[in-house]
Amino acid sequence: MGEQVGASGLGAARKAQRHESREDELVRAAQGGDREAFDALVEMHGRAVLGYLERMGGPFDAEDLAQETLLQAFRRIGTFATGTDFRAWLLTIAYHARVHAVRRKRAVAAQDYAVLANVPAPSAPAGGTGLEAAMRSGLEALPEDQKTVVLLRFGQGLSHAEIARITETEEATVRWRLYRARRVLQKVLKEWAPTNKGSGT
Amino acid sequence: MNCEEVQLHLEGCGAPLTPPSPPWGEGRVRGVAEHLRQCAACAEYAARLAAENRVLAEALSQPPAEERWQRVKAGLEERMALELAWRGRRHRAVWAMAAAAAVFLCLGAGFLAYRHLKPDAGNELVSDKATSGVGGQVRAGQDTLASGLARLQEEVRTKQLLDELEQLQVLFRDAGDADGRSVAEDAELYVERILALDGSHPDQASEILAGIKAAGIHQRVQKVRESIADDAPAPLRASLELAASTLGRAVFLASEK
Repeated sequence: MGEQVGASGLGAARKAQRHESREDELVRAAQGGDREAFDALVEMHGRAVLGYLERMGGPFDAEDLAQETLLQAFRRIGTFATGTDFRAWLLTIAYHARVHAVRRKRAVAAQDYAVLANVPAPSAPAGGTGLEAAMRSGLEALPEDQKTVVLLRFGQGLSHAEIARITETEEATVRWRLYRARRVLQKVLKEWAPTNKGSGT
Repeated sequence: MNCEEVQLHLEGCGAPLTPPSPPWGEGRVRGVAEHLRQCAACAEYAARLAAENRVLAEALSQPPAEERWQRVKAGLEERMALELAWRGRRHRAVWAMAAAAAVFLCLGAGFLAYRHLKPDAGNELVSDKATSGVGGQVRAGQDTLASGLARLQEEVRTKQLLDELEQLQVLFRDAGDADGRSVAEDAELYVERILALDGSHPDQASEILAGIKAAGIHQRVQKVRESIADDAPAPLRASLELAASTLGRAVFLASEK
């Protein structure tokens, strides 16, 4: 029920955006080589990919990773199983693209990595509302795996099962990471809320 | 089901991590719902969590800045164009290979058709080649014989081999060597025959040369040369060397044929 309670608002909003039948048609057309159909799919879901990669932060260029993700999708569109969630598929590619980027960075000499780690994340979006800024600092405090789960759950509205498939873990592990992350984010929300009473959020 | 369990469930962690809990069953979900209806504190807790979820969703699902998204799209357009161009090149290579294969197939089919329409074409070709090859060899052999014979005759004349052989006969006679004298006389006779050969009639020349070879005069001169003592006069040894060399070349010309 936790999932149902937590996802009720998200699920409704997400279902409204998905236009599944239209999406399936576009996917089939794209698989048949229709470039415009693929562009339409990118227009529908590309922002979600960029948003996820931006919020994941780190010493990576989110725009580059988003391009890489969408290009991979273009190359592998034929392997996508029609009828499944296209956005979840894109986010799976994005997740793995980022994992590979992390591995490549680890291959860099330790000294260089230390320098990179101190460089402000180039993908961090500038500005934003007060809540967004507070949440960004909260996310930065989270370990990588917890941050991934939080962003996929609350940012993208995916179910525990979908997140488990993307991150190749057990559902119980997803729930546990979510539980741990929520503890940190609740503190952020509590610190943010007293100064924003009456803001309507 | 107690409040702690329900709240853990609501927060996302259904059970302790180790061992990993199985996915929530229908019974557990019904139990949580029933508990929420009966327990005001947990219902309030659930409502608070739901509100928290909404805040988190709102904060974390904001779309990225449009400017950044447009940059991603522009970059993606370029990379996809490159990708398609690369695919085009790959297809061109496939087409080129297919065209080359088709040309080879046509050539092969044409050759088979030619063989089919003219079954002895291949044999004719081979036999023609063989004939021309043999003819060439014969012509080359004749050229070799004529030129070799001419050189040999020229050498006999310049080195005055006949005079040398007459001198040898005198020397052997004075020395009382009848065998040596006989060999020198026979050698003179064969050298005269060599001088009389006509290179323009190769068959005839070959026949006579074969006769000289069969007579074994070359071996007989060699034996005489080997039998004379090391302290024999130098002109004697030189004359025998020259005779043996000349007759040896004549035998070689006969073998070449």
